[in-house]
Amino acid sequence: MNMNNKNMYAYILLGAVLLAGVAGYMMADQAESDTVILPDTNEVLITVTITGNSLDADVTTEDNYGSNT
Amino acid sequence: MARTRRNDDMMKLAAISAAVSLVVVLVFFGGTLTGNSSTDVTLTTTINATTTCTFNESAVVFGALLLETDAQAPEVGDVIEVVNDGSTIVNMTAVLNQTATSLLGTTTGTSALDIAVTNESGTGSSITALGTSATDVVTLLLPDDSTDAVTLTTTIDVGGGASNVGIANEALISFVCTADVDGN
Repeated sequence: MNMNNKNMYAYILLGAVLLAGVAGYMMADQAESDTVILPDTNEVLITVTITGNSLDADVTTEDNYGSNT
Repeated sequence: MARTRRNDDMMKLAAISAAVSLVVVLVFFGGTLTGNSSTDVTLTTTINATTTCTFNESAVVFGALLLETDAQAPEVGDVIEVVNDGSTIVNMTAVLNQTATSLLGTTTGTSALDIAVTNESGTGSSITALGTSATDVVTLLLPDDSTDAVTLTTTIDVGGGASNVGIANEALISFVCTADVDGN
């Protein structure tokens, strides 16, 4: 057996170990699980009604005051 | 000399074993490792819990609104209390289904629907303007009995030029409570 064959065998050995490590990591990664907690949604109905103009209200007050006098 | 030859044989045996292992790994995981595979897998999910935010009000009715006025509060009793009845810390966002300007029908001035937050735990912006994009209103509301509630008070600013005076208009605020798993 010459030196070149020894090196080749060593590289094959090293490659197999590295590949097995990567495969093992990927298998472990697939087994990860996350915590799942569903959100809760609530709706609130907003109702608005505009009854007039603030400036109109002031004018109305003045008019009423004037009519009473 | 005999010992060297025995070591060489052992090295050869180890390399052949490794090569066989390499082939086995490539056969079973080759596609996964290179990204050149498509595999159907069964996805199994388990829902650990559901957040539970309980609202004491489902509607807020504002009293008579006048144009060009600011910060009119809703009638007494329309303040919303939210209780975290779940088992996890929650954050809450709010979103309107239409803008305040659209809701009020105003064409001039500033129209806005704001929400003031009082949080028994964690933090909350004092006043937040709501819009049609989700806005954070409460963070880190604890599920504990003594500090699990938050009070929301809506106020409204009315612009001018509304054409729908006297007509009741409605909008929906959607509040979404999401678990803060990390608690930060």
